[in-house]
Amino acid sequence: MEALEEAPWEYSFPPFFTLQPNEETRRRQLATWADWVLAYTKRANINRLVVADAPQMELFSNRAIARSLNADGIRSVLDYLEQRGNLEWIDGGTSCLLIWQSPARWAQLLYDWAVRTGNTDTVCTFYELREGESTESEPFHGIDAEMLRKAVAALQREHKAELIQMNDAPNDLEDGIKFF
Amino acid sequence: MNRWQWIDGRRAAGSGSGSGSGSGSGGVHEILVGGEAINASGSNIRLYDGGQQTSFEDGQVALTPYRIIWWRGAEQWMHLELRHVSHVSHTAATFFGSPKLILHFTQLEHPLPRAVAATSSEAMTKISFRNRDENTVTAFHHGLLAVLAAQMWLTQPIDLNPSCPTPAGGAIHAAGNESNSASTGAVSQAAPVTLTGSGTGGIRRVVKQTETSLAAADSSLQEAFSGDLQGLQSKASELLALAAKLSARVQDEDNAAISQQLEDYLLSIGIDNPVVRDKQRPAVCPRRFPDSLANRFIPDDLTWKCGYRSFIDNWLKNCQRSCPPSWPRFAAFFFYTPVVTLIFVLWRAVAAWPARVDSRSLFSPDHILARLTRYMQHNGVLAVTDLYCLYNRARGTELLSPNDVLHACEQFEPMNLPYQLRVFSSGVKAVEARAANGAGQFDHTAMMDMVQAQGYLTAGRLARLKSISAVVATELLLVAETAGWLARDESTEGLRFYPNYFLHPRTVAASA
Repeated sequence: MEALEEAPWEYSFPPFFTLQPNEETRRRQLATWADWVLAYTKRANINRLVVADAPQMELFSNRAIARSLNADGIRSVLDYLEQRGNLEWIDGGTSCLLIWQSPARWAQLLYDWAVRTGNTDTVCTFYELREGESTESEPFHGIDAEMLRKAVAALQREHKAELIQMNDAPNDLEDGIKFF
Repeated sequence: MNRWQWIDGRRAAGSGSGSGSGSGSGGVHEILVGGEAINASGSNIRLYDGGQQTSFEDGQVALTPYRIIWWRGAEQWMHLELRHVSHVSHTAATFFGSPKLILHFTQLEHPLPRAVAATSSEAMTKISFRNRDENTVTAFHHGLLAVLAAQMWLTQPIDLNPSCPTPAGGAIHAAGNESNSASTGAVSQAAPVTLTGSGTGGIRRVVKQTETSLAAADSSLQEAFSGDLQGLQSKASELLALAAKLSARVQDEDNAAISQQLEDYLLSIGIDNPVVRDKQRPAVCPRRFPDSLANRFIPDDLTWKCGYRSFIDNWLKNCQRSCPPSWPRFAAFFFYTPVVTLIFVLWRAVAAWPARVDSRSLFSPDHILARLTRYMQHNGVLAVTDLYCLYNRARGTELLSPNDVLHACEQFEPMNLPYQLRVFSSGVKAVEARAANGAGQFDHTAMMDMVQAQGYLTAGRLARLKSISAVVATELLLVAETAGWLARDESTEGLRFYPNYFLHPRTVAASA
């Protein structure tokens, strides 16, 4: 609920929840929506959005004024976010990654943590990083696995870490990362 | 046979006489009720249902001032009340046929109780004198003519069925001796068997009743309708008198507000009011006010139409009353109809002469403009369909076609009149006041003020506030949206329009 405190005034303005036919108005409306979606997901620490669940989210519906953005509207907002580079479709378009923070920034946070806690030259599993007790106070605690892979890929390019894959297929629990 | 009714023959049977033979009246005297006497009688009588022979043959017949009684033996007794007979005719004996009396029936309004046949398509019955005795027939015929002329049933009505028992009356006599109970048993069976045998089921009876009541309803409806028209005529003139009185009084009091209200009201019911208009409205362009229109025609036309129609109707009825038409009448019908019509048309043309002069400029926008000006005073936009209705309603007759109205509206702009036709994107056409700069744009500032004050607007609300039609209101809202002034809110509560705060952020962020 605290994420709602940052809601823009448009969130209480009924026409905000109807796609405006007027081109100029719609552009302004979608920009506001994009900002709001990123602000909300950042505050709530959400990386992944399942499109089918979106209409139930308070992000897209305001109970106080009994208005919610319909499926078309949500799709338009997400498409707009993709155009702006803040969104990436995964799972064949049924869900998406919200990139309110770039993978490089995530990588930086991970590496800083590893150095600070002396985890360099050791292997940490994905599970440990995402759900472990030692990362509970970190911003990347609970990060989406897909986003974590992007961050690791970014670290690999900088030769700061390496992805350790246990099986042939990616496994979100057992795969690990070795920090150098 | 639906006029012949079974009667209770027990008293005659109980007297022991009245076997089927001889010309004597036998037990028939026991049947008669007070005041009845036998005027004529006959024997070996067969009854006909219309032209059809029936099985009621070899009976006896007696004429009383009220009815004709037919009976056979002690069991079968029936009578025909003479109030159902309109007139009687006589067929003399031929080589094959016996002499007959033909009794034509009057219209039967309700099915009779204990009728021999519940329904019958025949409107007459025949009494056939099989003895071929012309004297009996003549006596009977003359007697019948006399009692039909006397119409005793009207002057001294009596009850012909004093003890109207059920057809199965045999139960009372069940305790009697053997022979009697046997004979009454025959009566109690004979009647119902004949009833069902002649196809008089309950449904046919119901159908017949429904037909009768429908006919009655139809005639009363016609009466009511002709009465209504007359009422309408008088109401129309009353209404006009009232309007004139009101406007005169308002003029005396010189109260602008009331007079404005009255005028609006009168216009809304289609009555033009020159008194108020001349005084209160030097108006936008006084010389364009035509002084014609409705009030002269409304009552006049009503009376004319009604009068003419009823006159022609009555006249035609008179012409066609005798059937078949005699030749002189037939010729007169064809001769007079065009003449009468011509006279009426001429009279109409003379009476409506000022209107004819008027109608030469009928298709000019001037007329429409005059009417439009009043409605536009507070409205600003009027759909062409509404204009068409209002205009024609006020005229009463001499109506303009939709195309003419549209054409006139199209001429506003070329003729440099203060209005113009506006076609909305959906195709709706409306007339709007032209701004001084000729832009002709609807005044959006007024609408925006309204939206700001109300919070949001729906088409219905705007229509109410501005006294315009909902169609036009919708179009105006859509135009304002396209122009970026409004933003829409589509929900289960309907389509609402808010000020477009996306593009024009509000200066006071209080209402959030």
